[in-house]
Amino acid sequence: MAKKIAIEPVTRIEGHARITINLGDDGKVENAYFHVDQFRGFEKFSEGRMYYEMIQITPRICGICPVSHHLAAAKACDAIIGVTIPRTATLLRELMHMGQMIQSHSMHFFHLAGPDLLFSFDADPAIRNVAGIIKVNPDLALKAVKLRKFGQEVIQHLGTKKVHPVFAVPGGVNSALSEEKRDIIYSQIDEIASYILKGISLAKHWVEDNMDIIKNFAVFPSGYMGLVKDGALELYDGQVRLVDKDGNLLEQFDGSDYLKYIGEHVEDWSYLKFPFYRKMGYPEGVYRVGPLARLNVAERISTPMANEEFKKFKEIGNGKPVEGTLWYHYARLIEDLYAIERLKEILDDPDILSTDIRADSLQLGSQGVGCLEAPRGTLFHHYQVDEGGRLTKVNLIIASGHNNWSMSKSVYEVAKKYVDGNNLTEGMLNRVEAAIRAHDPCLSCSTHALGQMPIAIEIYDSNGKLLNKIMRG
Amino acid sequence: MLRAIVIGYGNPSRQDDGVGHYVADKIDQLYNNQIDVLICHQLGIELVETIKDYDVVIFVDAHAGERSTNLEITMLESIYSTSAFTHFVKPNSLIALTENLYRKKPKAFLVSINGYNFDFGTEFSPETQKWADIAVKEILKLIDQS
Repeated sequence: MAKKIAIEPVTRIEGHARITINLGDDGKVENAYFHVDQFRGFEKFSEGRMYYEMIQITPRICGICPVSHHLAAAKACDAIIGVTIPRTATLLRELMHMGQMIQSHSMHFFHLAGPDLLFSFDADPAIRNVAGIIKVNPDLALKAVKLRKFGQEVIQHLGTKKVHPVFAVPGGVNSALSEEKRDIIYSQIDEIASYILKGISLAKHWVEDNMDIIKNFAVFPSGYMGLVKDGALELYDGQVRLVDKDGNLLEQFDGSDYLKYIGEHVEDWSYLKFPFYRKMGYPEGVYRVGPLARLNVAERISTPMANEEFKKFKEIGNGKPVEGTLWYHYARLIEDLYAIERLKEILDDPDILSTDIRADSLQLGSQGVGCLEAPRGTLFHHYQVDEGGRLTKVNLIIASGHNNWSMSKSVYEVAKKYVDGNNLTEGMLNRVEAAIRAHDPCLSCSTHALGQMPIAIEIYDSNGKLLNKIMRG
Repeated sequence: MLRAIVIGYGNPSRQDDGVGHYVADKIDQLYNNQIDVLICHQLGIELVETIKDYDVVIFVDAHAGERSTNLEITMLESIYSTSAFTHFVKPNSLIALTENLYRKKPKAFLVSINGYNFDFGTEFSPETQKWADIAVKEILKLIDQS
């Protein structure tokens, strides 16, 4: 008799998360955990499907970074059929990826992180949100909306749909870029770049005024992982670089070899696994991914304006990796700037309007790995297929999964520093949330399931009695 | 002339959760030149740029849980509610943001259809299918009455 696994509740946003904070007899924080209570489903669900369907199936893991899944799946399929895709196809995929980066990074900064930065962690939650930003700075809010819209439109111009594009196919892409669409995108670049620069300026002012908070907010050593190409920041292709807490190179490898280097540890209090560097074991081999990690592993950025900001970023760490969790925000905006500059470079490329966009192949290998940098960090899609092309095994390691340890550690560090069980304030708990928020997690991706994400913060006394529970929608 | 848009959202790979897509698509097929339609996985903040240009906005989604009605039509108030991490914006928050940002407040409704099965797949449960077709007619009435 067939078994049926029910997953409830299910809607469409970023998973379930829970933070528990355990207090000692003195009311001080003893430990704190970040749990993800969702069930992994997509890997099993995909088995038995044809490999090429993954390009359309996996974007439905997520409504925010579907392009990352779309493209990682396409790269895995390219590997299965053993092709190197035409240069124009690579450029077009990367163009779509830059649109995705701009919409995702911009929305995070202005919509989710911005209210904390503009109003402070202790501000009234009734105004500490986008509606509050509109009241005090409507021009900034409009810029935020336009940034997000621009990124979405780039995706739509290429893939006909904003959210689940139909564009990449095994061996390339299914449509060339028209001159008209190129010109539409191109005409907005300067304006969009100016908005991102405004965001960077805003972030820097906040840094100047809040250095004391930044230096004390979830600052801890870890490894870092991200893609590089010739040592420079890379988001679509390149090699995976892993460095230790001091910035020393541990490994640099092709994404297809990820299993040699990355293991996944399981804790019984979270469905989300804890990836680590195999040679060092868990927890010694834990690392971070995402904007902060990518800038920590890179030696430079290939575009001029972003590289100037990158140099300033590197000064923060005095030659060592930048450890403070709140620096994720600055790093994210530097990448945002890189994305618009790189987008311009791609549109300026003489090959961009070429119709040589797909490589054919009659080969069918037994497996393929697709690897790229999603907005939140390194993404691996690994498919194994039978001789008919049906999937026999699927492994997805998602950006927010790589950061699982870091998010939990950040919660602990911030709770220990700021939460006083004897005198609990909303601002204290907002700081704990902000530690998670800095990573910009997408939990539906990392658990490959879908569900509402009411974040619950639960505070327990030393006897395990629930003292307080706060739900956030 | 009154401008109306139907925005269907949800995840079409999770059976009844895709009912918003189905309803919006159906309206698009039937009334292609008269009613604008937008289909998306979830609602994002950039939609305010679209919504601001309409007189009537109808969101279509699945609902789940302990509700007793198969089809609910709610007039949306302009109320912003905050979110800790999610990139998703609720329909009434979108209306509130549109009002605050552009000083425009379209008449807005949420049409939701009860979902019974949210497993992986693309087929609707029979009850959801039935009420999805009724929802199409109700949405047309709503637009006519507006």
